[in-house]
Parts: sequence; C-alpha cells; structure tokens
Amino acid sequence: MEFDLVVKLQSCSEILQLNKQDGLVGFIYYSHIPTAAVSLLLGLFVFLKNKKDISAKLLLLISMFFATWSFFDIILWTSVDSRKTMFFWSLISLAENLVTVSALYFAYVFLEKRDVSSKIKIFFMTLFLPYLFLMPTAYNMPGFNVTLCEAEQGKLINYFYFLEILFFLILAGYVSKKIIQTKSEDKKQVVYFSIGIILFLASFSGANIAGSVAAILNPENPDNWKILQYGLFGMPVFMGFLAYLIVKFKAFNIKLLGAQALVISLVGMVAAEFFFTPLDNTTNIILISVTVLLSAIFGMFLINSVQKEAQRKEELQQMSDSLSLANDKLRQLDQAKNDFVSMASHQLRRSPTSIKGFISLILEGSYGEISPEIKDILEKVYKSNEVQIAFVEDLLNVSRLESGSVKFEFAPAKVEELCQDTVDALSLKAKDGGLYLDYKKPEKPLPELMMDKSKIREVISNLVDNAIKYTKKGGVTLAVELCRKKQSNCLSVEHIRLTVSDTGIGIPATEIPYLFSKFSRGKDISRLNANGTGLGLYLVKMMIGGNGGKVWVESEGDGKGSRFIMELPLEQSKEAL
Amino acid sequence: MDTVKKILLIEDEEIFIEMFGEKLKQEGFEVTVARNGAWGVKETTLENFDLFILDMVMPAMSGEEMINKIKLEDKTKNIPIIALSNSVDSETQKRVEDLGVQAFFVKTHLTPSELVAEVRKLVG
Repeated sequence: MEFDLVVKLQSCSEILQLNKQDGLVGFIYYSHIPTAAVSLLLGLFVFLKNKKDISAKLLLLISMFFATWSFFDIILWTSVDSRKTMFFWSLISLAENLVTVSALYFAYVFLEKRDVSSKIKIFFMTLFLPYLFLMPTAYNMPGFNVTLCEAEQGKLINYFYFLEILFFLILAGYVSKKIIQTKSEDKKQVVYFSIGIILFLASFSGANIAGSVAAILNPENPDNWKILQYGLFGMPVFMGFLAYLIVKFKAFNIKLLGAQALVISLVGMVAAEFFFTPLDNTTNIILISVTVLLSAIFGMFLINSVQKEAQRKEELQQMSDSLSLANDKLRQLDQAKNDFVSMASHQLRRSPTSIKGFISLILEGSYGEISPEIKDILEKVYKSNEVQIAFVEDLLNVSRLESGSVKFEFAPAKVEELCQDTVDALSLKAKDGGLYLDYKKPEKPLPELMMDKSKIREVISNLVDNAIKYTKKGGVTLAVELCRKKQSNCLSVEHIRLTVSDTGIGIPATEIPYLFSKFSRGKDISRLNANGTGLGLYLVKMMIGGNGGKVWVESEGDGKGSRFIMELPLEQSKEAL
Repeated sequence: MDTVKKILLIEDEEIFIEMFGEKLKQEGFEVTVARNGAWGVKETTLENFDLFILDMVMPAMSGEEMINKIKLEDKTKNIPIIALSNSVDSETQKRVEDLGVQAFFVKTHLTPSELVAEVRKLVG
C-alpha cells in the first residue's frame, strides 16, 4: 500500500489496523452509532408527539448535536486522512459545547415552563464568539502528531474546557436552587429532572474532559481516549429518562412512547452487534440475525398491543367526556322544563282566576241584578272553571313531582294531628251531603313519624275528600292504628296504617289495578258525580312513595264501598331521607 | 262613620288590579295601586296605610323581598299584610307565613268577596 504525508498516513493506517485487531473499532461503532441513533429517535419521537412544545424541540436539538458529535468522533477514529482528522477535530469541541449549552437551555425551559429571555440568549451566544473566530486558526489546532495520528491541541482547548465547566456549574447551581425553591408536589419532578440532566452531561462531557485531561497528563498513551467511550452509553439512558419526564409531565401517551422507544433501542442495540462481533463465523451471523428479527417482531407486537390499549383508553376517555357532556345537556333540559312548568303554572292560572273572580262578582250582584236563568248558567260556568283550576293544579303538581323539583322536607310529626285537621276541615262538607264522617283514633298515642307533614296532610285530606265525593248514602270512616311486627296483619316493617273506608259506589275488581295511574278515575265515569281530574290518586301515590310508604285500595265491588289504605313506616329508610 | 281605611295593593296584572281593586273600592276602602315590587315598597312609607295586599311574583322585586323590607321599616312593620300567590306550593306559603304575614291566599282559591272579608277581619 502506498502512503503519503497527508491523505494516506502510514501511522494512522497502522493504528487503525491495530485498533481493529483489538476490537476497539468495533467498540467505537457500538458506542457511537446505536447511542446516537437511539438518542436521535427519542428526540424525534418526543418532538413529533408535540411539535409546539419548546422543551421537546430542545430535546431534539440536543440529540441532533449529539449525533453530529458522534459522527465527527467516528471519523476521527477511523480516518487515515490527516485533513479529515484535522477538520473534524477542529469542529468536534464546538459540537460538544453545543450539546452542553443546549442541555442548560433545555433544563431552564423545562423547569421554568417558559423560554429564556433574549438578553440571556445573546449573552451565551457571545460566549461562543471567540470560539467561532479562533476555530480555524492555529490557536485551535497548531499541528498534527503523525506518530499518534492525532491533531495537536492548541490554547483554545482551555477556553473550551472553561466553557464546558462553566455551563456545567451554571446548570448544577441552577437545578440546586430550583430544588430548594420548589415546594409540594412539583418537587419530585424537579429532583428527577435534575438528576437526569446532571447525569446526562456528566456522562458526556465528564468522559470527554477526563479523556482530554489524561491526554494532557500523559500525551504518549494511546488509550487516553478510550475512557470516553464508556460515558457514551449513559447518553441514550439519560436521554430516555429526560424524554420520559417530558412525556410524563406534558401528558403525552407515555406508555406507547415508552414501548416504542424501548423496542427501537433494543433492536438498535442488538443490531449493533453486527459491528463489533467477528462476522467470520456463520453461527454468529445467524444468531444475531435471528435475535434482531425476533426482537423486532416481538417489539412490534408489544407496540401494537400498547397502542391498542392506549386507543381503548382514549376511547373510554372520549366516551366519559361525551357522557358528562350529555349529562350537562340533560341537566339544562331539566332546568328548561322546570322553568317552563313554573312559567306555564303562572300563565295557566291567570285566566281561570280572573274568570272565577269576575263571575263571583256578577253572581253576588256587584254589577247589578241578573236574571235567574243567567245566574244558573253562570253558576255552571263557575263550577266548570273550578274543575279547570283543580286540573291545572294537579297537572302542575304531577309535573313538579315527576321532574323532581318538589323537595320532601322531613321532620318529626304526629299523624293523629293531621287526621284531626282533615276531619275538622271536611266534616261540614260530609254533613252537607247527608253523610257521617267518623274518626277512629288509635288506642294509645302514636309515636312521631319522620315525614313531610304538609304532603301527608294533603294526601289524607285528598283521600277523605274523594271518599265523600263518591258516597251517596252512609258515610266515611278514617281510622289510624299502629302495626307492630308481632301482629298478624302487619307486614315486614312496623308502620302506621291509615284507612279511609266509605259506603260509596265501590270499585269493580277490573279497575283496581289502574286506579292509581295517571288520568284514571274509573272507566265508567257516568256513574260518578264527582268532577275529578284523574290525577288525584296518582299524586297521592307519588307523595306517599316520596315518604317511603305504600297506598292501595280494597273494594268488594260495585256499590259495596271501598277502603283506601296507606302505610307509613316507623323507621324511615335512609334513601328516602 | 269610621275613617276610610287605606289599602296599598301591589299587583302587576291589570285584570287582578281591576278585579280586587274595584271590589275593595266598592266596599268603601281607599285603594292605592303599585304596579311593581320596588315601586310598591317605596309607596309603603309615603302614606299611612292600614293594610298591604301584595302579589308574591312581581317584576323588580319578589314578594318575599318586599315583605322583608316592610318588616324592617319601623313605620310599616306593624301594618298587616295579605300575600297573594299564583302557586299552591306549600313551601313558599310556609316561608311567607314565617316572615309574619297575616294571611296567605292562592289566587285561584280566592274570590274578591273572600278577600274583602279577610280585609275587614284585619282592619275592621
């Protein structure tokens, strides 16, 4: 082989040959190519996941500088051309410091969650200026050591060390301050990040500086730069750690990203074996190929399954989001319904109220004498208007009960009092119809019940009023008794039982099941003289239900009277309250 | 003959003003009308009224607010109040009765004569 003093140096070729035999060249490839590739991929991944995030951009930038540096370093180790060696040697320290300074930048942006001010940017750029100017001069590379096949270090290297140490110290100082300042739940994140970024730089520039220091102390030793290689393996690890932190705290899909990064680094590392394992052995080639293939295939499965899981999770999230949206809509609709009901209740009552008022005035003679015929007609109108009023009220009550806008207010109260109130209020009406209204008091005073007093009063009065309405002869009896568990007629829970029995028209067995439903008041309404609205018993059922009780009717049939029975439990269940 | 009793009717709907107001006048009361809540409250202190009749649902100020204000003012706190409501909602009725009104009526259950009877009961 022919050599010359510039392009093909014999010494370099010999050293390279020697290094190849030692396996050092393979080791260099292994320490540079996969680490750079993995770092670059990580940077790219994180960046692609969130292109707008500045810390993701910076991580990509770091990985790019690191890859550039790795590329330069491989050339330095494998080139036999002194021009190439000189050229890349002069640039490599710039690449190295760019990694350091961008790591510093990255740390600041990640922890402060905002960009650095322009002033500081300009300050750091200025620090690089002497470097840029002096780089192509002899201050950087005064000459070439042919024996070692290395460039000679000029004085500029000291500035380079100065900068590198300065950046490192600024970073260390900054993160320490940040750790002390940060309180509460963010502290963990800051500590993790600080450890990650410090180790990242330490493994990178620490090894570089150690190599350089060794070279200065003992320039003749060709192994000085070997130490540098070990630091590089830390790079993708800490890169991965930083990537993890970004992803975790920026709420990307961490699992998917982690699986992708893991698989790619795994396959990359395994594939890198091609570079440093002797390939003269067929078994080795097959073994490595199969390993690479298998790890790639399993890796794909892993990524796939994680992706599916992530998708499912996202779908679930979307579903729950849309559910809560639908819930909000329902709530709004419900509110709109309630608003409508209260508006309608106001409007629906106005006309019947004024009709009632004015007709009553006419009938009383406030507007002068009226003939008996007109009086008769107006009385009919008045009565029919009363039905209308009752109907509107029932309708609105049903609507309010059904929409849940009626609140049950529970307080201890005595049922006997409510019964007495009802009997007092309605005995005159019964007497007018020629009926009796009996009240069978309990033998002993009843215990107080937790109940909505006003609603129970309404129910009792409603049932007694109904009984009077549907009875022509005889009368109505209201009975109250306590049902203890031991008694034969008592069901599962202790309760107070109210019975309203009448001697009225009775209810055919076929109608009993429908009696408490909406708009039901007996199919054959011509038999009934009452102006029912068909909503009264439905309201009764809802109000008793709201108080945790039961109501039902018993009748022997047509003309044999009926018994309306309601039971209120002594112990209110917790749900009802 | 007794002095004419002065009644302040706070009611926003024309038809009810006519229905209740005319009847009260016919029966010999002096009736002043206020057509919204805020105006009504202002009116309560301007003259010496014997009775307030007020609607619970009013523009500018609700019946409950009005009653609160009337009961806070020394000049008006002892003047009887009849509250008229459009709703049979028993909770409202209870709240209003707790505020110290003398009578609470659901309008649909009340004729002008019944109102006059109640007024006579309260102011003689």
